[in-house]
Parts: sequence; C-alpha cells; structure tokens
Amino acid sequence: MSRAPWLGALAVAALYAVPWMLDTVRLRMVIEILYFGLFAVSFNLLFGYAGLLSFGHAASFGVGGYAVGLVLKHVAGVPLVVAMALGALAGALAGLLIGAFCVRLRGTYFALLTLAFSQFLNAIALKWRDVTRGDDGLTVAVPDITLPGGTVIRMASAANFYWLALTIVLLSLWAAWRFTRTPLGNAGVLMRENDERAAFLGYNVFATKLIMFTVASGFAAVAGVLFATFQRLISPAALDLPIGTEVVFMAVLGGTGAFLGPFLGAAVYIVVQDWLSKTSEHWPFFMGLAFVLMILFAHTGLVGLLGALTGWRRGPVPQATPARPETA
Amino acid sequence: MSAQPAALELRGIAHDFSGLQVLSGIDLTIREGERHAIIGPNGAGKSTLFNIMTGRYTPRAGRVVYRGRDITGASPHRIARLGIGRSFQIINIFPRLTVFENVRSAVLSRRGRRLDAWRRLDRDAAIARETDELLATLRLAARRDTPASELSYGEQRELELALTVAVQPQLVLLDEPTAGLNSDDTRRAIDLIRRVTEGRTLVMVEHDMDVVFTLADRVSVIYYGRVLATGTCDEIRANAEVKRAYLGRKSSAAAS
Repeated sequence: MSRAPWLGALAVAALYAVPWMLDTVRLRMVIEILYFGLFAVSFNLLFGYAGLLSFGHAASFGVGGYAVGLVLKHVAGVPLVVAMALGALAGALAGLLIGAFCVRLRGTYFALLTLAFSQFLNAIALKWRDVTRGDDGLTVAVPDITLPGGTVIRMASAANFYWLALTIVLLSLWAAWRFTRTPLGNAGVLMRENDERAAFLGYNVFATKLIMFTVASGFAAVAGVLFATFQRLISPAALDLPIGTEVVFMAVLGGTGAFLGPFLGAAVYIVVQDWLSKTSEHWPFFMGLAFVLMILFAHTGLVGLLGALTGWRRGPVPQATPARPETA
Repeated sequence: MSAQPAALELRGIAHDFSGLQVLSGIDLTIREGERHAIIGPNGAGKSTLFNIMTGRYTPRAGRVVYRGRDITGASPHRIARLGIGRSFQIINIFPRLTVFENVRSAVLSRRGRRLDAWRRLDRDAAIARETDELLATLRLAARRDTPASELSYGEQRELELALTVAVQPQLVLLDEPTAGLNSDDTRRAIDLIRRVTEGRTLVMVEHDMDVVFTLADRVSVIYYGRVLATGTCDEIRANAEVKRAYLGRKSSAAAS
C-alpha cells in the first residue's frame, strides 16, 4: 500500500504501541475509530467502487453485532474469535439475501430498498424480544481468549481489546484493499462506470453486483462484531437509519476517491464529534453544516483537500480508482 | 460463398414498442465469414434489430439462431460469451477508466477471468501484455494512460471498436462505426475495421454508402420493418425497388 515497505511496517508498529501512549478514555475512542473506519471503508466498496449508494449499510453491521452476541450467549464455551467469525459470516449472508433483491434496481430505488431492509431488520430487533431483548438491547458477554500455550488474554483490558481489534481491522483492510486490485474488484468498478457495456463484454451484471454487495456486507459485519463486543451491548439502534447515514457522511467527509479516504473520514468525524459534543449541545448542527460545506465545496473529501493543499497528485492511474463525484 | 454455412439466422423477427410496429417479419441469414451491411432510412428498425441480435431486447415473435443454437431472448452477457461482440452507435465505453483499463477489462472477459478474486491485476504480466499488444495495433497506444472521457471523439470511436474486438468475437456487430467521423477518420476506420475483423464474420449498420460499398460483401436493405432486398453491392445498386425507396434519395442527399 505504501511506497516504501519499511514505512508501512513502522506505521503498523506505531499503531500497536498506541496503548502505551494514550489514556483509557482516548484509547476507547481510537477503538471506536477502528471499527467505524472499517465500516466506512466497507461502505465505500459499494459506493465508491461499484457505484451503489446504500442507505441500509447498517443492516449487515447490526446483523454482525447481533449474531456475535447471540452466539456468545447460546453456545457455551465458544472461543471469542470463532464467535466473531460467525458474526461476520452471518452479516455476509444477510448481505447476500438482501442484495439479491436490491442489486437489480438502480439509483434511488436501490438506495430506498436497502433502507427498507435495514428498517425491517430494525423492527425485528425491536419486536422479537425473546431473542433480541428488544429496546433494552442484547448484553454481549465477551469471554477471555485462551492461547494454545494456556496463556489467558483478558478482554476486560481496553489495551487487549485494542490489540485484537487492530489486528482484525488491519487484516480486513488488507483483504479489502487486495480485493479491489483483482479482476473481480475491477469488474465492480465496471458496474459503476457502465454496467450495460460490461454486460455486452460478457460480464454478468447481477452476479458481479451481488458479490460486491455481499463482500461489502461481510466487512461491515466485521465492524459490527467489533462494535458489539466492545460496547458489550447490541441494540436496535445498530440497525437504524442514523448509523446508516453516519457511514455515508464519514465516507464522503474523508473522500470516496481513495481507498483509505473513508477511514480518515471516520477518524475525523469521531474526534470532531467528541470535541463538539463537549463544547456545544448543538453539535449535530455543526456536523450538518460541515457536511453541507463539504458537498458544496470539497466533494473530493479531506483526501482531495489534502491533495490540493500539498500539490500532491496522482500519477498515471495504474488501476481502477474509486469514484470521484460528478457535478451536474 | 453460397456454400458457407449460416453464422446467424433471423427467422420471422417482429418487434413493437408499446404498439408501434418497428420490425414486422425479418428473415435474414448472415453467412459465416462474410461482411454484411444493413442499411435503411432512419427509423427503419436497424438498431432494434441489433438489440434483438445481442439480447438487449427479446423479440415479440421470431427466432434468433447463432450457429444452430437458438439464442432468442438470452441475456447480453450469455450472448457475448458465445462469441458475439457488438459496438454501439452512441459511444459506450468506461469513461473514467484509462484506455488501457478499458481494453484490459475486455481482455479479462475473453480470458474468463471476470470473477477472479485472487490474482493481483497490477502484477499480471500476461494480461498487460495482451492488452498492450492490442493497443499497439491501434492509434490508441499513445493514449494508453489517458482517461477515456478525455479522448477526442474519433479516438473514442476507435476505443469503442477496440473494446468490441478485444473479446475476440467470431461474429462482430458494428452499429454505425463511422457515425460522426470526418472523411480522414472514416478512411482510417474502414482500414481498421477491415484489419480487426479479418477472419471473422461482420455485420454492420451503416449510413455512409462509401463505407458500405467499400467494406461489405453483401448488403441488406431494411425498409419499414421489412427486408426489402439482400444481395451483393452491385445487385443492391442495380435494384430498382431499393433505388426508389432509399438509395436514390440517400445518394443525392449525400452528394449535397
């Protein structure tokens, strides 16, 4: 991903050293950035790469969270990592089922149907009290991890959870980034650019979009799994519209034209929100204002702004790049 | 020539758009290896016929048979995979991808690597080589890393053609490949079409009679949803009915 491998290695080492540099309150915020960053990147696999704007991306995020919570609650002695993997799988499966209905539609209709599905799941989470505990939310009991040698890693420690989350998020980001560089990832970009032409070249539009939807859902579910195990609670809010639109904001704020743009957006969003909410009770107003200004004057996001300020520009594009929004 | 088997057969194709009859019983045989031009006035149904051959529309009646296989109503990607490639009258490319990425996408499809989720594309020398070899046969090689939307109109036409032939179709369908080109570009396009369709079967819709009579072995005239005549260029030129319905008017218009 980086020009010099040792620079990347240094950055990763620094990330693993974070718990020694920050207090617990700040560390908890960084953990939040990790999973929302992954969530925003997964959203952008759909939006920036495949050109599919989903307002219901919270669906797979929430399904992942509920699935890991239910597995941990009902399967005695299940290792944490296995439960997490099952949660991710459940989210991907939900994506496959929802996508099968949605990806045949275009534009607004696609966006509305994804929204409808996430609201539908939200209603189920609210009403099916026996399973989900309804409004109260499902308490997620997170077991400690026992390594093969017998060493126990206590999950009550924020630092330990951070290292686990960091490892999972880095692996997920690497897998997602690598995916965008394969022929299938390229086919996803063709769906955004001109799906009709792709069909006449032999690409199966439905299958390609469905795979993109499923993969993006899977990564969103990984984020949801981390959210639920970190908060130790998963409630219907995780499936609701605010989460589904927040992720759109994060991605656009950071910039949908770069792979890590949405991650940057999530980080800035969370830090600024934390700061604003301490400063003013009207913080949603300021966040909204920022969003409007970004869309009007800097629709390439923070990545685009940084590029303009530093004079840094892309060389010849060696690979399909994510969407740059078009002005009408 | 007449001994050649049929590549594509249209049998009694009829189609309408919400009651408006566009095609009413088209019978047409495209022979293996021939260059066949379809001409006719605007609104005669030529593009509709193309869309039926390539799976964009399912005809209301009739069959489309490709090498003995009924492909009526099959989806575009299935028809494409059988070896039928088409270009479009209105430029239809991947605008924000580079020329190289455009053509590479077609090369990937030809190689059946559409859903390959493992191998890194930027490290695939074989795919890159095949793409560059294809570009080298075109003028586009110099514009390799330019986004398609930044190409001139003539270059976009060439890219349109390049995408179509990059999947190495056995049957090439070109919908007005010289539309909007100046005479220099048209000459170059004719030469290019001749080169890239060597050894393949070609069907083209074309308005420019010079292009038609230069390239085509046989010509079919479509007039108000029917095939008025099919024959060699000379036969079509000599056909009184065609002259009356189409050619006379058209050539006097072209001369002005």
